[in-house]
Amino acid sequence: MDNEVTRKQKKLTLFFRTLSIMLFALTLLAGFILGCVLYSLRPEKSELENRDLTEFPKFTAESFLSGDYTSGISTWYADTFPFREGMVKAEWGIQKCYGFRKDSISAVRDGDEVPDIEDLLSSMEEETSQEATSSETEPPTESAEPTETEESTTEVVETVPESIDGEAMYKLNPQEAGEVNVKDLVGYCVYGFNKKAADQYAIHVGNVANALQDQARVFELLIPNNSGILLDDETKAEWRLLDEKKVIKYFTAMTWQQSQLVKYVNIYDILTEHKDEYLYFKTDHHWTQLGAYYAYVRFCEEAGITPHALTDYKEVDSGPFLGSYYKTNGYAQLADNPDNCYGYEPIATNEFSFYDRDAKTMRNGKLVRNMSEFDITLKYQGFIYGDTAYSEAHNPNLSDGSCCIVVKESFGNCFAPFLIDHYQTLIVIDYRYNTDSLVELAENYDHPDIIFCNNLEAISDLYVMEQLGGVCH
Amino acid sequence: MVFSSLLFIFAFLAPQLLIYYLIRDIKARNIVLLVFSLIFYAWGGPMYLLLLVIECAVSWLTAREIEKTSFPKMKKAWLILECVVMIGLIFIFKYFGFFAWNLQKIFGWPEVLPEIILPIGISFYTFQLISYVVDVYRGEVEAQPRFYKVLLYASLFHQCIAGPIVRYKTVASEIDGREVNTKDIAEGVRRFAVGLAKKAILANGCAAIADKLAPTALADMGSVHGAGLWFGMFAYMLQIYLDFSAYSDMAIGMGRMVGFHYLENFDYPYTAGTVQDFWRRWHISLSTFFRDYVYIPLGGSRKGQGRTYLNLLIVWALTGMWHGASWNYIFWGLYYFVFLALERLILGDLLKKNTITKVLGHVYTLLVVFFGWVLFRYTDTAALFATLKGMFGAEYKFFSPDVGSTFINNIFFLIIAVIAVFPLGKKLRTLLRQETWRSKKYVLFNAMNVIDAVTPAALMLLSVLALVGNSYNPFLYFQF
Repeated sequence: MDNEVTRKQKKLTLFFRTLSIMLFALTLLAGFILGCVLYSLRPEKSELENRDLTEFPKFTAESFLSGDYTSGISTWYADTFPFREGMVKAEWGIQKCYGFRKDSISAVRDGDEVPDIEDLLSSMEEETSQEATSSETEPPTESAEPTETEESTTEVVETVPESIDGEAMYKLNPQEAGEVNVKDLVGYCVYGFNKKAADQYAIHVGNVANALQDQARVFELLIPNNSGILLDDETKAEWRLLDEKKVIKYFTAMTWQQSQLVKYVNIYDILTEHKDEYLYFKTDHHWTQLGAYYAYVRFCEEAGITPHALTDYKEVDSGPFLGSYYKTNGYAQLADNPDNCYGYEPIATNEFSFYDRDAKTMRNGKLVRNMSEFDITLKYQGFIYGDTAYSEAHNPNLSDGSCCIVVKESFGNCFAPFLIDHYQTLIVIDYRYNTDSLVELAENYDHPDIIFCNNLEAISDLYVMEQLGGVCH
Repeated sequence: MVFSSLLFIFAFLAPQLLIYYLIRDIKARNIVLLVFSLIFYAWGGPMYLLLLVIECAVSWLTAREIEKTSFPKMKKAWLILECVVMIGLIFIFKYFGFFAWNLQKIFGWPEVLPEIILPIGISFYTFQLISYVVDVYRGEVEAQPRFYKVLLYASLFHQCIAGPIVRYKTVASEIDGREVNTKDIAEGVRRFAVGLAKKAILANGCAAIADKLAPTALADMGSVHGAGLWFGMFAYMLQIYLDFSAYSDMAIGMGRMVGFHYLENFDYPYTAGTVQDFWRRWHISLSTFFRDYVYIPLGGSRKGQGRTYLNLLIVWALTGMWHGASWNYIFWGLYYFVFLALERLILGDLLKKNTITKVLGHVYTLLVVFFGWVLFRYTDTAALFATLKGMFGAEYKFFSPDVGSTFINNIFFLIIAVIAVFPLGKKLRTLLRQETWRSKKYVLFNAMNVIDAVTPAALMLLSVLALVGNSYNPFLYFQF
């Protein structure tokens, strides 16, 4: 009896061993067919990561001998594996089970206070008020040599770096340090200040204002991060976040040093006033179009324009949205608290034309479009078709030759559409994909308004500032 | 090419196994394995394939000459030639840059340091070839008459670039003739899948925590905290075992799938009760290599106490150096020499006295190993000291919310990783199998078998998901 049972056990063991081998072999075979046979299923772009996937490497004798060619094949093979995006999402789902992932404090920004620039600010205010008086009789001119006041303020600013807690404060490569924390299922940017980038930004904006003198009005609109506006003081202190209001003051003071022609649009206070409203996405680093609307209201005040009421616009509901904190930073738990992407259609026209990042022909589209049919992670591209190199819209109701040029990174996408109702021509430039001269462009129009509309985190990158420099000439 | 890559699994291993099983003739099978192995090796840069072939040719020739000649002096001369060539090549490719760097630091010469790229796996296949020729010299194994078989032995992709260091005598008979049965394949499949999951899921996950909380570059240490450094180093301690043992698991598994039976390279080293015990369980093929080819030929412990410690010092300095051309590895080897010497002198007996001392022995061993890994991780001395200071609260703030958050966010993952470094899973599986086998309860018996049958494919799928889009994937031991 025992022997019979043993034989049965042995038979069963053999059966299961064979089953195990077969299942393994089937998995290998499926992977082989997917990865090596079904070439056409290989994706070329990752919508999840908003990037072109690795291309198959070009063969050269040198790259072959060094191993770069074969290494390129390995990268290409993994990067373009069929159904990659679905698998990445599935992996995020698995990683959600690694622990209690409601809050994810992945970074705490070390560093103390932003430079104390009160002296500089008071000089700035004093100078501005003096200028306001003198400008009635004399148009502003570019100073070839620094004035006494400028010299003294420069001195103050040059001592600023020493007052900050060493190099750790200055992210030399902010893209690497673009950290995100999750609290109560909302992603927050852990912003780090980069003085070098801030100074470069000021130089570029100032250069444009100085070059155009009285031919254009130049506005500087600095967009704080969601953490700077939404988080309570206790959390800010716990994460050692910087006071973004102070950071913005530093930017404006630096810009003022470069050119006193730049008009600063303070949106920090109005956003703080409305902080209980839906100003920023929870799963994405951008602001909502409602946040951009309040910035538009503040801009109108500075520019002497009467803004439209929010109720004047037709609302566009693109439905649920999972943004960059979910798809790029990989905080899978944010899927449990998705955003909803709302837009506001401009009143005068919703039509515009644009050059894509690398396309040579102009395409037409909607400034604000309904993205409800698109993938849940793509909804922010409903504003001026995402990061296009150059966009242009014309208001059919105006013929006064007025023009507004928005110089922006992606935060400007949902801000720019509001402006078409007030200008005959609206031009939007994404300096990351455009190198044409901004000054030459502005000279084609009659006293255009130029708005530098940028988020603090985005402009804390030296490379991005190099790109901004590429158009500021 | 690394084992834990989609290209290796689906575009390399799958066709290799398919072709291999379609062929029955052992010679043809060997040629299939050789061709795939050479492609595998050349994938990282075909330039160094030549070096591998040269080393094999020299070893093949010297082994044959040693066997042919009946003059002991000639045998010795051929052995010396082999050692000089092998050690010379490894010195040039692995240590010459380090040597020149030290000369430059001390004497200011040479002005320009040579830039020599370390050929992948040189430390592994060179040691394998030395062991082969020495074993022939000792008469423990016959010289292989066919060059391609020596080349196959050294280049076999299972173990060529990250071990284990397989002795020729272990596989000599299997190169010439081997059988593969269902048990071997099933065991090989299971072992490979477990290794892949250990690497792709657990080791890479631990690496992400370690790199975040205990960065190796001084420039990245601006935001570290004492608690983060402890936690990060703990994650690194898990990572290095999971990573390296995973590679050995995959190598052993792939070997079994084609009929090779490589010896175990790890035996749950973190269960060790003494440092000496740890080294009996960690990278066994390297420890036994140094024991058999350095320590014993130097006289081992047979020539008095002083000589024994000198021999140990030499062995541990070499062990450190083998891991990398950097001072921290040498110090790491010497660090272990100190503890091994202490155990020989006094600690060893003390730690085995009773249950309490045995428990203390485990704690002591884990602490020694933990700080050993700190030494091992940092090739930059300034970063090493900053880390040590930070761990004891002297350099950075101790606690930060991101450390707590990282812990809470990964708590289940860490529990699984800790379980994976101890034999709990293995023991449980063995126990359940034995019980279900004995009790003859077929429901349980079949349930166990179903789990066993499904596990490799399931682990493969989970590993593939983890590998897709994962940027962190190098094997730590590739640099050696």
